[in-house]
Amino acid sequence: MFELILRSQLFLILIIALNVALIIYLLIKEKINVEYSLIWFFALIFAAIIVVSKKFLLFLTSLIGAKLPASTLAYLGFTFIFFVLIYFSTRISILSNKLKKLIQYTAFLEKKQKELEKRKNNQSTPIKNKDL
Amino acid sequence: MKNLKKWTHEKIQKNFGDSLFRNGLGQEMKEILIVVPVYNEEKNILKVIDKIITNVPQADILVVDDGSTDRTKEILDYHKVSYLSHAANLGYGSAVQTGLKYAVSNKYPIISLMDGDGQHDPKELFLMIKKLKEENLDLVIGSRFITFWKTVYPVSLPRKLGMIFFSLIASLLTKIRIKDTTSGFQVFNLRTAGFLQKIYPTDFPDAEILILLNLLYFKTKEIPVKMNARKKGKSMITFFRSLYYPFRMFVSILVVLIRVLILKKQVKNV
Repeated sequence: MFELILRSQLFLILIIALNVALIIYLLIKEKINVEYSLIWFFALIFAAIIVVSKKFLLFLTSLIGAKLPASTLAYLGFTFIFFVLIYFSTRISILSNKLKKLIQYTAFLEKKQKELEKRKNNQSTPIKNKDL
Repeated sequence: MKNLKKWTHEKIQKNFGDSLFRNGLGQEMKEILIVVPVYNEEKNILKVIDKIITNVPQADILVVDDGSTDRTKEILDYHKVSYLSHAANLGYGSAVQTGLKYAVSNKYPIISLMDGDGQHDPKELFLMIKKLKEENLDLVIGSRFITFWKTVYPVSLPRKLGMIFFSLIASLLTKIRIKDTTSGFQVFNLRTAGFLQKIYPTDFPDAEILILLNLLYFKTKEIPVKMNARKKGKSMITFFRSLYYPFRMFVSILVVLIRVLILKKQVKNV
């Protein structure tokens, strides 16, 4: 029993380490902002504490009323993913609104630019003799 | 069609030489602005513009190209039609919002919305504008329905049922009979445009906007108008949209009601 828990602990720690490495790699490649990487670092640190500290995991298990520590891990994982998805939905909505404003603004600028060019062209038309 | 600009100018000069005013760039403008949101309407757009110019020469036209991938923009450019072009497709609501922003920034007293697929008959605008002016209304909706079941426009049964359901909800909440909540054929004044340009939804505006306007005391009236079935091109209403529509409507109406409650409380406290 203990062996199995130890093996699963090691497996989870390996996954956490890989995730940390992945986020650091994405940071180096500038494919993730520091702001967003922090969410994942904090989540991974929390996950590591739970996995390493059996007492803490058992305390959480009794707190949420789960039978198995594995259920606690799954429950915490789902909760975290749920909140992260909500957070990113709001970020996407905010970005969509900003993008919409930007596209509308460029549409106005394009029209204004065309109108100004038209005016400029009309003004710079040389006056012919017959117009005088 | 090649001399569209010349023809338009002649019509303006002939009919409405006196009712022109000027915008910030010193250009001549008219009292009415017709906003035509379009997306991939290369087959319909010129006919629509042509019809508007013929029937409502006292209006300026603004086409809002919502990032079309066909030749729509090219056609508009070639025929020197006044337009605003989105660099990417944002959705019908955003295209309308762009048009409203333009109308508000240029202070057009009367603004009309017309679809770019030729479904709306510009001849009907006279009656709608007349109603708006005479009855001092904020919004006039051109409705496909004479009664809830009798329609002047072919609509599929599931869609009709959905429209009736949300029309009933809108009518119950606003205490005004609104039969066609999805009509894109509307005329409104500058005050309404000023309000709508801030809150217009990105995808498809619907009953929630009419509910919001009525609960905030914007005077609305619906009149039956003739509408044609789309002849060419694709409708923006897809199968997936029709599935997601009822859920979206419920959430939107709920949010509108909460917003109005908060607004009314804030006004009371002031």
